Amino acid sequence: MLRSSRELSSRVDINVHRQPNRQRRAAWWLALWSGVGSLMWLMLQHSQGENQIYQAGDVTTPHRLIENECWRCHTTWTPLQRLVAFSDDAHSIDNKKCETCHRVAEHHANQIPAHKDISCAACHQEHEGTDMLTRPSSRHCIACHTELKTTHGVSEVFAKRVIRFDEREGHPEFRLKTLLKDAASEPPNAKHGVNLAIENFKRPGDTASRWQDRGRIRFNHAAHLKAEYDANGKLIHGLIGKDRKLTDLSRSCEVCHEPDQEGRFLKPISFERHCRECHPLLFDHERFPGQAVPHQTPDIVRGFLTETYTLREFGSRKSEVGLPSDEPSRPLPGHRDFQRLSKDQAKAVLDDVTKAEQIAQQHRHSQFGYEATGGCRYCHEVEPVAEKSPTAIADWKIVPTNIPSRWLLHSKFHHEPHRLLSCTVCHADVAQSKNTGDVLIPSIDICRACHAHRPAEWLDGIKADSVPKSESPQAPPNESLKDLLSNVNRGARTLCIECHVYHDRSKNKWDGPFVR
Amino acid sequence: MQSAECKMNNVRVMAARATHFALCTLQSALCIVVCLSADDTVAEDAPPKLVGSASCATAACHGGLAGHKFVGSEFPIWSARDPHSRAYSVLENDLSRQMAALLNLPKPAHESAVCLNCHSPATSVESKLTSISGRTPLAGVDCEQCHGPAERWLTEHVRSDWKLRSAADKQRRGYRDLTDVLTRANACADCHVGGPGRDVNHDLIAAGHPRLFFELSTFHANWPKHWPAEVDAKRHPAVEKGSVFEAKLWTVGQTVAAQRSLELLSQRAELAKVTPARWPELAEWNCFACHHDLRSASWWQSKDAAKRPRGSFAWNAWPYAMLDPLARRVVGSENSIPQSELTKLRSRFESPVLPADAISREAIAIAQGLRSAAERFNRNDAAKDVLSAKSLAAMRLAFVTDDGLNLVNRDWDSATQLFLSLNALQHAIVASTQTDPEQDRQIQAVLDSMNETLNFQPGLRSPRDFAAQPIERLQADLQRLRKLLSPP
Repeated sequence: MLRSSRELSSRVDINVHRQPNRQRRAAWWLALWSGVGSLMWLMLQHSQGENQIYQAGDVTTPHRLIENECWRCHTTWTPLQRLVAFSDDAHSIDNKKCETCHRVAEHHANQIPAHKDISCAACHQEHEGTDMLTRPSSRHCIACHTELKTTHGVSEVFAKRVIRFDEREGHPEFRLKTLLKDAASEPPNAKHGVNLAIENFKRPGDTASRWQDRGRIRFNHAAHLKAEYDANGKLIHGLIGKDRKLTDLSRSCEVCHEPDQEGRFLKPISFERHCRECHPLLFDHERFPGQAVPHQTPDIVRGFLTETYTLREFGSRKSEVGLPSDEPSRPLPGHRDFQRLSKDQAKAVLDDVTKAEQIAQQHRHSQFGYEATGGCRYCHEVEPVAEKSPTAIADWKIVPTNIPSRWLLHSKFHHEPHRLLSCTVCHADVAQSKNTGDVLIPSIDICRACHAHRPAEWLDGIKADSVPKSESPQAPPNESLKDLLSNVNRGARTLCIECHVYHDRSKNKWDGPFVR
Repeated sequence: MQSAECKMNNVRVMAARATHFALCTLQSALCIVVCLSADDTVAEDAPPKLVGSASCATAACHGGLAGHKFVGSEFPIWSARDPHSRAYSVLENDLSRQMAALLNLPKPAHESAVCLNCHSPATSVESKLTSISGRTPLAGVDCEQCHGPAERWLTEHVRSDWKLRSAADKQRRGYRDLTDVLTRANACADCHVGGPGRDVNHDLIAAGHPRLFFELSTFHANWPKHWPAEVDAKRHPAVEKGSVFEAKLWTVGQTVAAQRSLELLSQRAELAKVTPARWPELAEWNCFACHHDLRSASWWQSKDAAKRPRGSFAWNAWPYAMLDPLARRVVGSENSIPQSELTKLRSRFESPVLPADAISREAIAIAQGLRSAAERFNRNDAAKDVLSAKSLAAMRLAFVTDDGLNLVNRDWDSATQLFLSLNALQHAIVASTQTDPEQDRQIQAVLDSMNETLNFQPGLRSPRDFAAQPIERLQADLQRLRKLLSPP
């Protein structure tokens, strides 16, 4: 049965367009409510003081303290401007805001751009995760150091081109090493840190002056590290201790070079802790067996000897001690008489002191029973005093040892993370070093062995196999550095700030603005 | 006939002898007249010049090498033992350098008059002593500083008649007769107390110079002498036995030190007129008047026997501590120590505002009284009365029983002066009369104990700890002495 068009049309609601579209309406309501809901959520968050939702990324841990107070760092609308500008050059932070808390030292006086023109945020970029803001990317450094210019033009002091650490052309060798290689060269200026480590001078025994360690004592690493074992693993050559037993110090550097509490630096050598046991400063083995003069200034040594021999004089010849005939005969309060030596006794003491001083100063006095022992001259350079000051007691002096407590002041080197390596991996020549002038700081190539993207490429460049292998059966198997690194695909970090300090923190202001 | 000839011969011999005798007498008289008449030839207009101690030190004169113990070896003894020989060299030590820097002296100490005036008067530019023909005098306090510039007596004093000459003549020639105790005391006081150009004032003490506290008898006893001590004793005999030299040293020394201190005070007050900033001179007060704790009821305030009002100061007690006891006990009818004036002057120092004029006047007046007291003690007849063993013993007993507690309670200066006086009197009494050795031994033990108490505590360079306990110990010692000395 055919249906008429009217019938058919009657099936269609011609007011359909007037009827609501449930789907669209639902979508519309959903959109509306999600918009309103979002706004309400924003308002709720805002009413609770939470602003995290606006953040591009997490702030660093120290800044969590002010995470919800955007205005602490941002100036009004600048984040939006930065967003719109879509450029890294627009900063949403004013330096003054940073300096409220971080009153750090200025930038280098001669750098371009100058201090006031650099935004802190240029290098210290926030909202990039919890990593430290103090570890900015190397690209910020390289941006200028690729072709370094200072306010004086091209810098004579700093390396002109530094682009990456793990290539020889990308970063220069330590200045100290270049000076040692090239005797004619000079440090860039008198203030350069290298002057604290090495000096161009002539040490006793040198034929000509040369760049060498500034230390003015005699020390022989090789003699202290000698160790040789026989087939049965018995030590046949080594260091002779006080008890005349052989010792192997070749793998015990920390016996003398004690790390500090943090493990970063190695503490200065102390005569009392490290040397006295084998090198006691004996002065009169007959009358004072085993007694040593204090490891102090010549004045104190003379004072010690004078006291020692005076007391001995009083003790041994008590009957002779008394007031000489012209001593005061009537008491005068306030002028207490002290026990005095007679003229003869005083002369005897003077003779003893002079003799003991000579012995204590001797280069070597093995007659006292210790093979390796000696007096001041064994380690120090002793000089007579040309013009004795009125306050001085002794007429001889020790040339200042000149040993710095830190060799490279600007370095951030941390020994502790490197503890997996044997000391000789880096300080390879130490076992052969016989002269204090030897500079045992490793070349930068040694660093690159690990601190590179592909360390294995550098392995050929370093003398890893030259590391002396200990014959000691007790020592762990001495893998070469090559073995160690052969399977390493990715090296240790090469960030500039791993080693370099940018801001001079010694100029930090400590007394902050916040008061209670 | 023969007897007549004999008589004639005898007469002739007698006449010849008489003539010979007369001639000899005449000759001697002439010699003496000639010698004495030489006095008038001394020119007195210019002061005598220094000859230099090197002139004394020839081996044949005073430079022998102790062959005769003292006589003939005076110079080597002085040189080796006497601290005066090193008076100049100390100016080159560290302390002197430091002092010169602190005092802002334009020159080093060994070239500065303020130091050299005492430490080496001959080399000081301010010195009126000039040497003959530019000869450099020996540095230090040498022969001529005490014995007098030798220009006019050097050749004279080796003549045989030197000892016959009068003291006045020797003095005119510039010779200082140090056998006289008063002269000797004044010679010492020139530097050890001070005088014009020789003032150890508060500036010097603050810069590091030791404070001067001079007590003649003790200093003299401890002085390495270049003459035999017996000579001094023989020159001042006591009536009974022994010598009054020790007694004279103590009495004359006390009065001269006080007299010269007052003269120095007057000089400081006069100087105030020219440079008012230098007045009042802080060294005139007891050190601990200012240098003491600021706590209330501190040790300094609590032990003040004089009970001065709070805020008032104490006069420097050292030179004057024994004057009152001495005046009360010894001088008696011939008392020339003006006690009441001294009390008045002392009370003036209790105020920090000091009228310089009045003080200068009063100090000079008291000093004159003390001068005549010193002369009285120095007279030869003093041995019979004021310096007799009996009066010395009475004086010592009075010190112990009446004055002792006061002095001991007052301050360290007074207590120490009392101790030194008791010690000096003990030596003086032993030297001039028969004593009981056992008693002497016991007295000496008490004196030793006092000395131990008065000595500075170890590590201190001042009597900082002189407070309740030491004073109690001294009081106990005085009690023991009283028992020992009181007549049974």
